[in-house]
Amino acid sequence: MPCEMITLQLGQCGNQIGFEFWKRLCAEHGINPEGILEDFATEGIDRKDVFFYQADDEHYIPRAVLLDLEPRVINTILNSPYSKLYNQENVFLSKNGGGAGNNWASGYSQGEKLNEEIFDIIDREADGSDSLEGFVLCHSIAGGTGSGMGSNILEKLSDRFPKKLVQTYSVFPNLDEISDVVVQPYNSLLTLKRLTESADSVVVLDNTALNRIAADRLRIQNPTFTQINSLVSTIMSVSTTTLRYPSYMNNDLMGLLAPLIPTPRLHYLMTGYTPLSTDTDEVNVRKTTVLDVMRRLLQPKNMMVSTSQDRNSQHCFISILNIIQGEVDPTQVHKSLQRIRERKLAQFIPWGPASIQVALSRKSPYIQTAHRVSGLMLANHTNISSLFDRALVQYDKLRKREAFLDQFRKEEMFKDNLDELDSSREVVQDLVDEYTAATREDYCTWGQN
Amino acid sequence: MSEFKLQHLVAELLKSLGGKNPPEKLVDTLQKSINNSAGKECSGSQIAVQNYVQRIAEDLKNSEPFLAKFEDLKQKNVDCLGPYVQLLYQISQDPGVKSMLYKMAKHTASEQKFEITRDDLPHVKNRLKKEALKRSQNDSHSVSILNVSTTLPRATTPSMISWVQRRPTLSWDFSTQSFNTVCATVPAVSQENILIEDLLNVLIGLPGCYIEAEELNDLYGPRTFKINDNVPLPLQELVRQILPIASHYSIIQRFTEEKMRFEFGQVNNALAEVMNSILKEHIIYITQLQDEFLADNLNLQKLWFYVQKRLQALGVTANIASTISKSDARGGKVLSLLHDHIIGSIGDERTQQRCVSLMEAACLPYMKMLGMWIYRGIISDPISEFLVKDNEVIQKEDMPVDYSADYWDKKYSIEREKIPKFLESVADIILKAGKYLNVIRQCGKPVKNKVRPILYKIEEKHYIEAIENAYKFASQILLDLVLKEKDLLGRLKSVKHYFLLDQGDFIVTFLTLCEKELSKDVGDVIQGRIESLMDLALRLSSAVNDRYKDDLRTELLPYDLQFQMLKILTIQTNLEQDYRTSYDRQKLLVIDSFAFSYEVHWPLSLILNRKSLACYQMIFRHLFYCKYVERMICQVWKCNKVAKKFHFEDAQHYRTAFALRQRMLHCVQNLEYHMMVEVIEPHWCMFLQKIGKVNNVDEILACHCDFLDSCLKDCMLTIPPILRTITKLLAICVEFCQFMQNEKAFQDNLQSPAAAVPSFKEQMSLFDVQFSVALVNLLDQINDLNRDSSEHDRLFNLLYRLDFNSFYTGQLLKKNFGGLKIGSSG
Repeated sequence: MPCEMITLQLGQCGNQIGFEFWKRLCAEHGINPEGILEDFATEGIDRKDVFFYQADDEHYIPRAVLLDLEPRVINTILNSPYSKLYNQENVFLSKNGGGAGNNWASGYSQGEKLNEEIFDIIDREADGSDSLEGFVLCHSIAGGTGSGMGSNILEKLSDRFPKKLVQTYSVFPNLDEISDVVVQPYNSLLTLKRLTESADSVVVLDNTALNRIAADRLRIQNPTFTQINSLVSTIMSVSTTTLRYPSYMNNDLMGLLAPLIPTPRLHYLMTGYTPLSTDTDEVNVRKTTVLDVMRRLLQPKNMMVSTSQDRNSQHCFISILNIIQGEVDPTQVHKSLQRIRERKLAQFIPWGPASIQVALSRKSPYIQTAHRVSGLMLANHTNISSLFDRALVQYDKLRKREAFLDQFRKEEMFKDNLDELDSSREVVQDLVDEYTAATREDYCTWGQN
Repeated sequence: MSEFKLQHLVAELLKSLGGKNPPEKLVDTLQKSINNSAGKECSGSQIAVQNYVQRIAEDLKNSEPFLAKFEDLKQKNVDCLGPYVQLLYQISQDPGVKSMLYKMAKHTASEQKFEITRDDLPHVKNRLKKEALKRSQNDSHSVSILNVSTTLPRATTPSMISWVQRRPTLSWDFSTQSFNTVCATVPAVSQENILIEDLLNVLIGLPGCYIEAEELNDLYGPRTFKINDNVPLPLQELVRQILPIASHYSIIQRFTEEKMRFEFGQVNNALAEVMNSILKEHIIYITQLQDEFLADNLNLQKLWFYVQKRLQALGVTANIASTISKSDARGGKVLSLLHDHIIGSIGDERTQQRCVSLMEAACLPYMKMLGMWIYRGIISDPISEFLVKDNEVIQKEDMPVDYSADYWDKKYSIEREKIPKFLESVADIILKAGKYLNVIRQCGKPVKNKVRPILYKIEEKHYIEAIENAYKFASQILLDLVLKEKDLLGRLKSVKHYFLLDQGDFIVTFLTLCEKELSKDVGDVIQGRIESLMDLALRLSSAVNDRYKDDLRTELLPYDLQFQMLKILTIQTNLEQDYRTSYDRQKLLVIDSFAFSYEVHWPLSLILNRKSLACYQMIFRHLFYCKYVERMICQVWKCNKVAKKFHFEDAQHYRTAFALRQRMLHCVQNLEYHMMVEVIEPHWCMFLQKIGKVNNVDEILACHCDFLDSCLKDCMLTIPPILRTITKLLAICVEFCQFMQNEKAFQDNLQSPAAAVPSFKEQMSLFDVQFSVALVNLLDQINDLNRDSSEHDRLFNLLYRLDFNSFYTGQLLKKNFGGLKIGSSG
């Protein structure tokens, strides 16, 4: 069956958000934790086969590969009610079980060593699908396994499957709190290079913004990982609804991503979602309209990425896709777009036509929500570069002091020199430059003599 | 009146008047005004007509012939006399029209006059000769039939020899042959007895001594009598008073003898029969009088007293008989005339009663037909008297195989002139009731409706109620059959999945599987292969849940969409020929000629008929082509993703191409969004709402047609210039994609784009200009549409979508593409 996606969950963070994602998909498709279709869900017209396949005994098995270098998170998953959901052959744990010690270089080199075993699993999974559309990678860019091994797998994936799409859900570290991972700036920068060169689309999940949203919007003072992860799983599941509930348009990942990403490097996507579940108390006072949803989606406070608010900057949207769910009349959508246009609520690139694309999508009939209309925004905004800017600044701070580089020098890659770090910095700097150029009219000819 | 008939009439009118306007426009305005005035009755009431006649007559110098003609026509109860007179009046009042007609008449007359020259003379002579010959043949022919009634029976009905007409003496009417009875002069006292005897004879159509029947001037007129001059005047006067009865008898007798023949129809037969029984009564009555007479109890005064009652009764009947005969009425018209008489005799109870009794009898066969039709859907109407006609366009056996949209409209039709007046208001539901029952029968279901007798009653409109009930029953049964049992909505949803692409994953799967096939030449592809790929796609995608997926078929049409649309849109205009001839079949790719088709079974083929399937196909081809182009552009996008690994400098060269690709994708996706989300889906929701409220299948049909029409219109398929621009836009996109794919292959081989850069750059700017011009053209064309009517409201939405950030209006104006546009529009 066409357009199948294989999900790779890497490291602690990746496995946690993956776990929440599968929980949510199961609920939406009416699949119980054991992988068996609930009685009420047998008449569905949804497409479960994008993310699941059916085993011989009618079990629905996620096309998921769980990878980690230390057993803690995966063991939690295997001890949960969902343990029978996964294909046990797809769970890969490093034998030494020591983890990557929050070191990118360690994760990368372990990934290199375990390469064959990992790709045995991935190849088997790929062979099992009729026409694989691509891979979804869940990981964080700060730690060791997700960033290091993730980078390795990304490189290998794009070599091995050049025709397939690679989409990542990458969690960016929280910059508001002091991280316990001191080498985080190195890890981030090294991962960013791979995300830029080997991934086709990166959905940025910024922990800073997620925590802020949890605190401001959901009024949770010290949000737990589970609470944050359920936010993330919402985003992941809604951004795939058009694939799972086919309608007129955006029924394959390619059609979904192509209009969002005009030039191949600028493939970092921001997301926003509204209304969030505890908004209910306020929302019930009045009816949520499509305009409400679309307007709120354009507000920075609903963005899952924290970008610097520079009013004078020329930063603008390259493209926007709003996935609107619920009872929506297309004329309302049109009116909202007109209103947004009149009030200039969104700035667009000057070098090409750009508009708010809207995909009207169905909701899962098995999950009751309090909201009549809800919306997810996938946006390609030049302001994402401020995130990379921050990463560069932090990296430069550490690098100037040559701090914590010993751990890296222990690994093969950095034994002789630190060229890899320099080249990564160069790639990220180019990326920031290109994003800045994209705000200008002459972007198409920028950089040429 | 059907559109085509109207069109035809208007065209004829224009031809004869030498008008130069295209008929379509006139038809349009006419139809609009017809629809507007449909509610109002035309003012054809008796008084108004009389009024018009008088006014016209006043204007005429010599009004006698006009009035005479009018009376004559009125006597014959010609249809549409009222409106015709009104039209005449209006023409006479309008000097413009009058002078024009006058000119026309003169023109044609002079034309004829001047045409004949000396050279033409032999030709004219020949023609005259031929005509004369024909005429004489006709004459002899009519002689040979020998004063058969003026109306010839229909060719299909077997005719019976009218013995009464052939052997006049067989008639119970007065014989025209005179018996030269010698009337001896008798003393005046005895004359009374002889006169009574004569009268008693004459009253039952036998010749008398002193009273002699005269020849008829008018076959259907009253008979006049001659009384011997020897009869003293007082007696003569008394006899004259009684004689109209004889005349009535004569009229009725002639009527029954003629209308008994079955070619005059069952209604006339029934009426003749009841009249015959009235005559029998009459004869019995006269015989009783004869008894009285023989018993010497009768004198002329008494006789006059006794027959006075009969005079009135027979008078009414005779009046009816002569009206019917004069207007040569049959079937429904007979009933209409009877109905008129009943209405006209309101206040005169006895007359009315007699009319009603005649009506009741005459109605019987008609109501029986009506009953069979509305309760069973059967027409048993050998002489075609019934208001519904079975045109027998298609035999039942051929139905599922070769079915055309004609069936529903043409199989049964109402013949307006055959509707009895009292049924006029329900004529349409009568037609529908039987039609629906027929559909049900053709589905192989028994129609278990009980046939109830329908009676004519003057006060209670019981028959209307019966018809309405029967109609409700029939329409409900059919509606249930179509909507519930045959699951029309399920079917339509299934059709929508495939033809309107609302199940995108199926289309994506299908496109993936067929990619190679679609870009081939039509001649090089095997339809069976596409069909099996489609089957595969049906089973692989979410369409697998569709119960009706197996009815989907593929079709390769011999022309592309643009040609098809333009051909349809230019019918009956001068451009038609141009398109036909200008279309030379270049190589047709599978993608251009491909369409789905769908197997529909009776009775759903009523709604999903050929015409609507063709509409679905047209929309499908357009959407499918857009999807195909979108996918092509996406494929280019996918190939371009390698560029992110290129070294920074190398990657720059491609940025123009990427930006152009993005513009194309933006355009195609917005077109698709417009058509799918803003047009088809809202129209579909509206259609579903309407379907929930329908009462009969005709309404479903109308809703469905509306739905398709508005979809076609709002998808811009019916506006030829826009369609052409969109086709061009898409063609440029395809060309661009092909170039990019080749470039990619080329560059894979070389690994260094530098060598190819200049030509690549040039090529890009060429594509850029082409695309921008076409797109700005499209925006202009939409902008130029008539904004006053709400007709194109939805299209303006597209303007906003295509140019949301004012890129085209701002950027391109700066680069002065406006000037380019003018240059390339030719």
